[in-house]
Amino acid sequence: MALVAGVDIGNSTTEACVAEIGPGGRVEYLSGALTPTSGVKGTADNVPGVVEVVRRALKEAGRGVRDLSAVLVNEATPVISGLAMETITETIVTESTMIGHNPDTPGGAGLGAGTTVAFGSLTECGPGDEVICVVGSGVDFEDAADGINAALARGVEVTGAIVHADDATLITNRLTKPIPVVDEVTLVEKVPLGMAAAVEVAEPGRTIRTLSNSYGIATVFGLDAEQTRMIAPVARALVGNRSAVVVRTPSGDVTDRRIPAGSLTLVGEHNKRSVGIEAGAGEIMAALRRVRPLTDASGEAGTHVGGMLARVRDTMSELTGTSAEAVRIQDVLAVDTFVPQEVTGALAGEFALENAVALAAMVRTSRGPMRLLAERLREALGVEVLIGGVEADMAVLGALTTPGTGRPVAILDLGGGSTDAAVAGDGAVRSVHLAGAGDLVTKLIDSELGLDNRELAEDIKKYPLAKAESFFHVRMEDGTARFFDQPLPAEAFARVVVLSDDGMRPVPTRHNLEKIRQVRRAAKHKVFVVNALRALEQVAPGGNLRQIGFVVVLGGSALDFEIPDLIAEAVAGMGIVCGTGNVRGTEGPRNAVATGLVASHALDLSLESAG
Amino acid sequence: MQGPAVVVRCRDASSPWLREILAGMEEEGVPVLVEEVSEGDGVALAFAAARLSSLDVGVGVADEVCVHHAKRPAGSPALTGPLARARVLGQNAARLVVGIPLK
Repeated sequence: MALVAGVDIGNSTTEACVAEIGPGGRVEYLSGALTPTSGVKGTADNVPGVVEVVRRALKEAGRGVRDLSAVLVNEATPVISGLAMETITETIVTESTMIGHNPDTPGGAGLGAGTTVAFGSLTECGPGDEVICVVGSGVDFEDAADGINAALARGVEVTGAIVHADDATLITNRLTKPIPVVDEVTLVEKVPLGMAAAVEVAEPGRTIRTLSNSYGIATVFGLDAEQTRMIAPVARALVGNRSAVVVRTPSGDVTDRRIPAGSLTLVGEHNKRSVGIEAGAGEIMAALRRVRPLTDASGEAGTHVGGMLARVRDTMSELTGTSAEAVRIQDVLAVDTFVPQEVTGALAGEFALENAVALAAMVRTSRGPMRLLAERLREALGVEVLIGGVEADMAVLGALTTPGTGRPVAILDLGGGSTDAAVAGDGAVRSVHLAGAGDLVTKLIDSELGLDNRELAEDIKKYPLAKAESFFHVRMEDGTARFFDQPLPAEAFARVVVLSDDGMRPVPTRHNLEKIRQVRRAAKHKVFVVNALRALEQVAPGGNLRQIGFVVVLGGSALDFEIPDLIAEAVAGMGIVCGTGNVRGTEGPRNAVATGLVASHALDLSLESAG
Repeated sequence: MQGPAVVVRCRDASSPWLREILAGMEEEGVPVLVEEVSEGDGVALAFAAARLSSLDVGVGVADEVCVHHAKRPAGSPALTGPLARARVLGQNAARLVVGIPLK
């Protein structure tokens, strides 16, 4: 009988499996454990994490370190990925054409057009003047209403108002003639006076019709074709708003231009292709398919993409201690996304979504430090340390302990930084490592929802959403209700919340639940479903997915509540049995490599004794 | 009691802060009913007001402004704040009724 511990050092977690190997290679698995990986995978820094996880697994099995005959460690070649994101279009709205804006409670309804006049100068306007009144901060709503009423009484055509405070309904309720009023305009002092402007407020439950339509703006301001073309981005930015303000100034200029984002050069074993980033993710991935297998990638110097790849390369070289020139990019995943950009000249800090491409790049580094790691581990534990076989082979062996699996089997290991796949038929195991995994999903959610909060984005990725409908219940995203004994905090009221393991977390944005859910699922689809298909296509016999009978989903992201389902759905049409792994029938999608190391070692021992 | 309304109970109906609370609720388009009572602190006034309100939301104005909901435990108001924040607290009381996130 030999007591062994299989250890899998991953990018984010280190897992161990303790087992007893009996005569004839019979394996009795005793326990499993998991800790965060210490240091970069495959370096001597991993030792404390490995020691910790081995001790924990042994403790669970009721054994001590001195009972161990060997520690089996995976061939932990560091596979490190980097992320970068760049805008490819940019709408520039100069300060002279101001747009906005969408407060919760605008006042009145309809469209008003006229010349902007400060509230204080309203008395100087004559009968028949068509004006938009601009009410600065510090003016009381009753005084504002009285002033506008007085002007209306003198025959001044006050057609709309722009207000600093949250006062719109209060003002309109006190007017003798209803006009549209937009409030909460924080930069009201920047609204140019004496300029042509239009204010539109839609009825409750509706959205504006005129200022969100290029020809509507053209009609209001009497624009020609060329000017209409220039104002088009303003109309686009206002679509879906309940209220809006457009101020037209003589030098007002809007342009929608594509930033030269530069080109990405993909170097394959046989040929090389360049593709412009502004062509989008689809074109980049098509080019990648044509040069596969990729040996390196570079970006045009002095452009966005050049900077992106340089950043990835620098991070890698820093982490692995190799020179930046020696770092070879082995895979890239490009994803179309949106990045919120502050609109120049906006009245209340509005954002517009600009097109962007996110790139995940992956680098494989040398296996050098592995021996050092084994040596340090031997010193720390006082036990023999064996470096096990290829990680993919081990993962397949471990995955096959999932009840109900059979050959040919493919595994998909969904991690934080990379997506790995391997397939085992009767012959050797074929495997690939692809860029793009959980971290990229988090980044896409963060940027597309404009959160600027990685931790919250991570929670949105991992947990279901709900809306707090009262102080005592939430409506889950699937429509079911959940009740609470204690009243919910006021900051959660009527908000979308994430139901994390640590409790309820409000999402402080205007996005409704459906929008957040859609962004979350789209991000997972763009990364994991795309990568699953890409990976399986590369390992499947003859590139034919139908040749794969079983797909076992493993890794941290396999614990996600919807990623395995999204993948299963995507491959269902190809007659593949796909599901989340359950290693040894107990461990779920975890511990596959650690288990595989033990299984492989047992096989070796039995062959030795037989031979 | 007639019609749906948030009830505001205050000790001094001529308080300038009352005007702000009412303005906050008007801005959100929620009807309101004011009652002057002789004693009680903000929390007690607010809870009694919430119990009276057909919309289950009450506001108490004493040394501070307190917003309460009839279904909550008496001693645990939804919101409390200084008089200087009367406008926003009025708006938030209305938002509890309308069901939109608080300011």
